[in-house]
Amino acid sequence: MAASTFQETTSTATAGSGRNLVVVDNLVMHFPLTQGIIFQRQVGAVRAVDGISFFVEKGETLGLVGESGCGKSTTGRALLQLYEPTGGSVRFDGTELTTLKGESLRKMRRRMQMIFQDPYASLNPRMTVGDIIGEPIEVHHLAAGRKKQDRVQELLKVVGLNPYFTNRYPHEFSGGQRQRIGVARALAVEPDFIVCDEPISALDVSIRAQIVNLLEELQGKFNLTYLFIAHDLSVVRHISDRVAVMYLGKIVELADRKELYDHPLHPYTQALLSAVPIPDPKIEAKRRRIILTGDVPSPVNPPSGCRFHTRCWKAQKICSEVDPEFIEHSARHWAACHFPG
Amino acid sequence: MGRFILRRLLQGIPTLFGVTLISFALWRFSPGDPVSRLVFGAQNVTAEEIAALRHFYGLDQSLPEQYLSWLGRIAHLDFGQSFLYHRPVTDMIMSALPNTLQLALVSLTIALVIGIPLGVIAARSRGSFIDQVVRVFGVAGHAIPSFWFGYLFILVFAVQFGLFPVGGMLTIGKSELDVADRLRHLVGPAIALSLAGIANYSRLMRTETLDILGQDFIRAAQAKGLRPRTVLYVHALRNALLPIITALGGLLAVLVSGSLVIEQVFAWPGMGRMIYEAAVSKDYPIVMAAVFISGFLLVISYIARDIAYGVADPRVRR
Repeated sequence: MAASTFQETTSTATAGSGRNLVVVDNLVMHFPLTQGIIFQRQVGAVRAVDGISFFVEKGETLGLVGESGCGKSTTGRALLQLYEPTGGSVRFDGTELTTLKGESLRKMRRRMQMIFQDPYASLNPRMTVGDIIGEPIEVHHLAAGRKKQDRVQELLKVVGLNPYFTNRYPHEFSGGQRQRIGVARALAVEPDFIVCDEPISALDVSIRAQIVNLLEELQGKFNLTYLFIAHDLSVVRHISDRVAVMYLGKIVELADRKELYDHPLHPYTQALLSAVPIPDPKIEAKRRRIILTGDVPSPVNPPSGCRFHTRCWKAQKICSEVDPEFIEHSARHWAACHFPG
Repeated sequence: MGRFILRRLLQGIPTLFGVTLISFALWRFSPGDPVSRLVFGAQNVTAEEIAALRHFYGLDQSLPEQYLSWLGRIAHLDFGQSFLYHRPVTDMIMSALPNTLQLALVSLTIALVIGIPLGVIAARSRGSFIDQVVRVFGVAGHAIPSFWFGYLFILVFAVQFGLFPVGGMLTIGKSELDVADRLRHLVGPAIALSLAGIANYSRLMRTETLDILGQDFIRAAQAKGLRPRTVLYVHALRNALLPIITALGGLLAVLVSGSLVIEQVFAWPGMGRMIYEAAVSKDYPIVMAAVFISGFLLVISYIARDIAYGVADPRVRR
């Protein structure tokens, strides 16, 4: 099949059935670096997210994986307009978010929520659980007074907590319980879309499965769409319908889960997958790891051409000169590599 | 909460006894007892008369006895007589204390009302020109000695321009109730005294607010769809104000013992100046009373701080 660019595909996809809830086009998020004692001047920028495009279909879970510092969390936050993106566009159910301001943006926030990585930092220590979960309900005029309290108790029940915990403070709970409070807070406004920013990374291994199962259960119950950010490939494989792989501010590969895990096209994806242990000693013994040499280059001054060429065993001259385009190599399988496969 | 307050009050009692012991020791172990001071240089004092004087001051009793009877007297707020002025120390304190409180409360209010918003504004627009000004002021306000600033103020505004009086609390001959005159006298010492406070609170508030604004729960509050103002005032400031409460902890004692230096510079008839003069002229009853009262108030203000902390931070309440 003829290779088409990502933009062509997404534009036809949105024009057609409208099954895409979120369409991100060439999103850029740079953080300025300044220098100077009295007068600050910009000397550069951390190019945390440097022109990425993807879409999230209604009701699916899109996994977003990559090493620490590759821009996954920044992508999630810029997408929800918690940062003001430097460039590009984010369309949510047909509405352009990047140009929304003030009241209209606040109204949109009801439909998109976030679950944070660190359940200890993401709950205001000075507020009761009832206030934490009840506040968004009140702000968006969904319920008030007695009704609001009923709703808070119902939400606590939904996430598997005792509904009579409303007067307690966050410090009285364990990490797993706190993360459930975070989930209840996100659910409070009945959103369509939730960005899960490494929601289980900070939790005990024994608690992780509980939270993942809770998220899956809630997705079915409330018809939620997830962007699931993680660096744990086995969890992403478990929960995602499709997976996007990020490297140094770029998405290098995007495909359906099975396709990506069975036929990774990008060398970086191949290296990541080769690092996942297999829970079968016989196969595990035969597993061949691709060991990447060197460190992740600085996002302040990323390599020319393909950003991965400094660590890639397939790299040739063209890789350091031309940034490879993000191309659909087979149906719904995009990759940005000069030598895929 | 009631149990928490009661327990903190009970815990204050042993500390208070420690304070009385130290003030007593300060008196008894300092060179020269009151009688030898009294008779110093006198020609025809007999040994019987000295013994009678020692008996009068209770110095012939054993130390524990003296300590207990002194405890009994301070329980009735009797701190003895000033050696120098031969007036009851309690009366002297009662006349100096309101002056000190007036100055201290005004300068504290100035420091908080200016310092806290300054810190918040600086944090909110981090890296801006305002932020730079606040940061430079935060260092300068600490580095500039208050007495230097005080003399500079007198030199410029009192001597050169004649806008404010050089010192004192009231112009002689004016009515006690002349508010405008009192305020004019207050401006100089109040500003000099609040300078360090403004620098301190603005710096503290800036750091704390910046720290809190970077936390996930602030992003969560944003994501909830709250107004930016609500995020700042309800979610961020409630957390950022806690260290200010800590910083205010020892304040009551400082307020009451006054600023030794500034009261001296502006000839303000308060506790600070009284204590300073008493210490210089070895007027021990006053020094002792001052040590005891500031120790007592320090204990009280720490208890008050803990209670305030308990109100503000649910994690402390236990």
